[in-house]
Amino acid sequence: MKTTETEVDAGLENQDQLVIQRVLAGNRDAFRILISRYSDPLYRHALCMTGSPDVAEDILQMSFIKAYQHLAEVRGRFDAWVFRIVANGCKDWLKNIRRSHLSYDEDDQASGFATPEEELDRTELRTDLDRALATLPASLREAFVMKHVEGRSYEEMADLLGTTVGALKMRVHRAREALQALLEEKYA
Amino acid sequence: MFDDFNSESGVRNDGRARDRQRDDARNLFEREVPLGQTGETSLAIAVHAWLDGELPESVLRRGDSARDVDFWNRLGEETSARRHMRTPTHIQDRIMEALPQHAPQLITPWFQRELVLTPASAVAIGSALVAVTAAATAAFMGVIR
Repeated sequence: MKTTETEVDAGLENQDQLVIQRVLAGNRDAFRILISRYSDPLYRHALCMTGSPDVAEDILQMSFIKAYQHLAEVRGRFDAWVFRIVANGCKDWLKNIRRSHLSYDEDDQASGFATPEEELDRTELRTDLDRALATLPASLREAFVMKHVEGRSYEEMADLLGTTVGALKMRVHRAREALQALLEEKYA
Repeated sequence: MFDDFNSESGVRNDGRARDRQRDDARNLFEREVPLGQTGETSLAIAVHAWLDGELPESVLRRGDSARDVDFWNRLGEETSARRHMRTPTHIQDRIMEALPQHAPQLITPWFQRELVLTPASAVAIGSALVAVTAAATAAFMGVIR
């Protein structure tokens, strides 16, 4: 199983390198392949980190433009490299902005709930979770989002963020405890 | 960054004390020390292990953590829903339109660039070195005398 995943990663990395060579040779449109391949996870990360669809879109756009401009400098995995650009963009935004409210674009998400009451509950939980996430320091929020929203393993997170598995476990644990303390009275 | 739900409400009368308390809380909050050693852990280690995929849910159901399991299952529904969110379709076009028209090029710092030495530049560099050495020697001799 591990070998298969590694092979898939290596295959994608090779495909990315081929696309990068095409872009560097002057085929600008080939960059769209990389955008469509990686925009969804990057958008989700930016959206969960910032809580704002508009800001997430801006960060995604700026990150891909930056990635295009520095494409010749890519060494190793493109997806990890571009993830770091997006993650740093989110952290920079969080440093500079104190948010007053959070919102989600309902149109982009399909509803799997049968009744209006369930949908209302879900919207309320979503808003409360956003508010609770907003109280966390950026490093804890980032770790929680990567683990629980993006479903990444600790090893993958450590690889992407350049830190240790132990430190990341600590951040996720602290984030969970803070979130439970904030939300359990209403939802437990 | 540290924020709270009342961050927009302005500074209280005891703002300075509150700031100090908040700084202390932030320092404690961000300190990366192993959980369970400080005695401050509110969530059972077993719950973390379950959330990390290291324990089956049935083990926690038998203990005192059933309430925690329900809470995290409910939260898990929301986080799973977020996992399926897609980028709005217009974004890809917007990014492509905003890309520079020229192909990306490698920008090499001057100290990493290849040095091309022509006969003329070699003579110029040599002459400059001789002149600098002569000037330095003259200055040194002047100081000695």
